[in-house]
Amino acid sequence: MSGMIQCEHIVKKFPGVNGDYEVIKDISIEAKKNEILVLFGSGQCGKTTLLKVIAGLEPVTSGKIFINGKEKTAPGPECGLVYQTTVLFPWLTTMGNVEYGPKMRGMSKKERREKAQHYIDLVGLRGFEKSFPNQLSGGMRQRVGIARVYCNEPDVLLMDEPFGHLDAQTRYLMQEELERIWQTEKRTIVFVTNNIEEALYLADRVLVMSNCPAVIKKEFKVDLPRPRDYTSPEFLRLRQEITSIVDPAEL
Amino acid sequence: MKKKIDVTRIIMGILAVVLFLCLWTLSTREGTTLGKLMPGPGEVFKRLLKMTHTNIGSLTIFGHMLNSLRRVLVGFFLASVCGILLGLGMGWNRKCEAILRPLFELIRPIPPLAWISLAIVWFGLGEGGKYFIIFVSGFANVTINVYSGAKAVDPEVIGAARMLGCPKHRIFTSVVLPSSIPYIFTGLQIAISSSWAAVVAAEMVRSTNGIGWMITAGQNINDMEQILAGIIVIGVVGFLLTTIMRGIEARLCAWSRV
Repeated sequence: MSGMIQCEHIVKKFPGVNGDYEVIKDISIEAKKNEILVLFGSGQCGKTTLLKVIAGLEPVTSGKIFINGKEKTAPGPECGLVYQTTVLFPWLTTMGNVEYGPKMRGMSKKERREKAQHYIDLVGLRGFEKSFPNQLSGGMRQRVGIARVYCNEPDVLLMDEPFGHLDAQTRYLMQEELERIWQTEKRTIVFVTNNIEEALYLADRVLVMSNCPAVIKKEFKVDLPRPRDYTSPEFLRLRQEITSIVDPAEL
Repeated sequence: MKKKIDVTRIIMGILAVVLFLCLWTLSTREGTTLGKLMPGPGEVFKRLLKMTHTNIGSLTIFGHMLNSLRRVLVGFFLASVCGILLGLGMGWNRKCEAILRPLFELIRPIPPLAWISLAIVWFGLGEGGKYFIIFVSGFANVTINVYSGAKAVDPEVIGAARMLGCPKHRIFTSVVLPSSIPYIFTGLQIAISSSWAAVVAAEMVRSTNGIGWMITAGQNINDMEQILAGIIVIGVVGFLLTTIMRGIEARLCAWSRV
């Protein structure tokens, strides 16, 4: 097994009124270590479902998932998920949220505090350690979410449109921040988005997905130098190319 | 989080109380019909002051108050423990819910006063019966709030905890319990006021001390001042109890205020 993530022939059906409803139709994905893989697609094309399946939060109908060579059947710390709407623990402070994972693994208080502080600093939240999530802005909450999964040291980071609810300005900023964080400490990331610029800014590879049932339409390798320039000719050319294969009827 | 003290609000609150006292004084002044039936605030407060150092029955007013408070705290404590356990149990465990929910729903609508006769039969006229009445008046409130709190736990948060490595058996203490705390406090808040209301009723049935007894005793000798003094003490102590509960809640649930 070469990849960090290996999904083989994933099928996911949900029971519906008129028989089963197929959301994912035979998808196979592989992601290498420290690669950013972006799943790009419009609307409700089953991207989130695919992430949840990889995370072990939803059982597959058929197919197999391997994370770092081990078969995945239940949610666990080998995958970290950053949610679309920040699912932080509202009763815990920034520090409490970030150190949660290590605490569950029984790491000593001193050790996990140091570790959590490192990631809080990395995402730029120094000074907000004692704030509760409801005292933070949307962008800051997503930073806590990122620090929380980083601090738990999963093999794979799954990000489900993490910046989808932010305003445009904050969104650009967070994309740059994620790039910076990833450059500082590389991880394998599967990033779901419906924003083409975001996809091209972050991805090593973009998988374009079609609407329900989800299948992979085409794969694009993005080897532009990082950090990327939204206005460079190659960037715009790739953008044009990907947009052209997305069916307008799906938008 | 520092709370700003809103001076205007406090002044308005005090003014309202003063206005009420003025109206009371005016409507009970000499020559009015109401004046023949009940004393004005001046007399009642003079009597209250006197009660702090002379006995009514066997105790001063503080003694009566402490007796009532003791009864409330015992009953309230029992109701809280049972209510929190039952509420969390029903909210978290489906089997527990299926078995206990119908029973609970049958008991819930019965008002505390309806239990008085049973309480006397089961526990006699002593303290046991009073604790029981207070317990009953708080228990359902705590249970129903804690139950809805444990039910309202966001499954996504549980998923997030699982993904961060929280083992299944620790989800309860690690997620369900902390996220239910605001609901628990809502329940306790309601329960403390209804317990305080119930103690008076319990003492009016049969007692030799307590604020409820003081009022009934006043009624028996047609002493309006004593009745009103009792009522004022009930109001003030009830107000203090809820204020204390709010203070504790504000400290522990700072995270849930938006």
